[in-house]
Amino acid sequence: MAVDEALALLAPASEFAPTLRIYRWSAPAVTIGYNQALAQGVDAGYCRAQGIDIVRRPTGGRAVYHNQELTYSVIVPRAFFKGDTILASYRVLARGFLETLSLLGVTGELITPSASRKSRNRTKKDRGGGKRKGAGQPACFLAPSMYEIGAGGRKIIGSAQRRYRYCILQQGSFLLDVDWECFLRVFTNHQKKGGRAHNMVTGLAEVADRKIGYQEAARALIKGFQNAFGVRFIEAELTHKERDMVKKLVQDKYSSADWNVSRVNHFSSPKPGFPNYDPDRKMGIPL
Amino acid sequence: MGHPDLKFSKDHTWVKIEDGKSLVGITDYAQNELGDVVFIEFPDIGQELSQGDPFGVIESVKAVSDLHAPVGGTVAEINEELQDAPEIINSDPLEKGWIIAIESGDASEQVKSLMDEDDYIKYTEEESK
Repeated sequence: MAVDEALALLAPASEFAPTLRIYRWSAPAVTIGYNQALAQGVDAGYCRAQGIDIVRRPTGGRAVYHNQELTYSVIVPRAFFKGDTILASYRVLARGFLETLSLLGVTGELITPSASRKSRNRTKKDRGGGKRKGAGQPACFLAPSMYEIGAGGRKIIGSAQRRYRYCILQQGSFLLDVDWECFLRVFTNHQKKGGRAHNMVTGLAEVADRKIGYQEAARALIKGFQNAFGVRFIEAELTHKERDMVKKLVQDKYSSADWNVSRVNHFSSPKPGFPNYDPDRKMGIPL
Repeated sequence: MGHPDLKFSKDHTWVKIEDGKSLVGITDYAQNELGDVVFIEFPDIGQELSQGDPFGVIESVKAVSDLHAPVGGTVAEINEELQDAPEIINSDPLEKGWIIAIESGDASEQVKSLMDEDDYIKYTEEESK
């Protein structure tokens, strides 16, 4: 999360080459959406017992269980989508994923936005598990959304955006397979609703009818985006400045229970006692 | 022109300045683009902002989006009604959907970089091409 946010925060105001980041988790983890109440729908006790970390994303949406999947992020200048709406930006990026699936022998499809309006969550002020008005589906893959990617009528790639002043960060999860026992156990309400989940979610292994590992999926994703957008990627490491920003974000934000549980952001508003606290510093870092 | 008292930014926020105090919200174009607003995160009262600084975050069913100050100053007030009813931003973005009030002092220089409503409408039409 820190790497994604650092890349977005350091994106220049002028045009820059978009970044595609592909990674996986060293151990199963759950990420929750920017505003999602931790207490809502994620069995934190089970996660703790299993050593499953929970971290809050900078992007919106719902909880994602990261296991047997490929995680991606795209950081793109807003000018790349000039004239496009938010939905259109999802649709444009979807071209890369559909091409990726095609390369893997799978026919992908766009999930249309009409169903998403019924699954809107409204929240009251939500710090540390506040009340949730009209609480809906806590799990990303079990909620219909807009211009996300399905195969065989079920969701296979879930995505969410954060729109900064000069760039868009889209984060997402591409399911390679689904560990149903753990998947259902992580989301409290799906202990009772396991059958429905099977009808809504699928992994690459099922739709491709063969096991596809992370490396093969990653190569396909790179080639898929190159084909879809007529570009050539250059593989690169984080710059020195990006690594410094990552370190600060991890320290003040993503390793902090204040952020992950209560969405209190010590990176942008550091308090006394935190390494980045500077009483003369003016707020200028995005939330 | 329906809102001669408002100025508009390229970040799709509006500002209404009266006696050194600036009321800020997002435009109708922005709320329409965002879709149903489900959450708004406010800055702290007393926080100092420069023009263009991020001052809040808005989440809709489509995306999370940063909000940027059309003028600088000190955050004086937040619209607490939006905490329980963020949908007001969709239904009435230019009045009841105001988000923060800033003690902006003499913002006349900053306002020069903002647009009146007609120019903002042209700007959004260009953006939509």
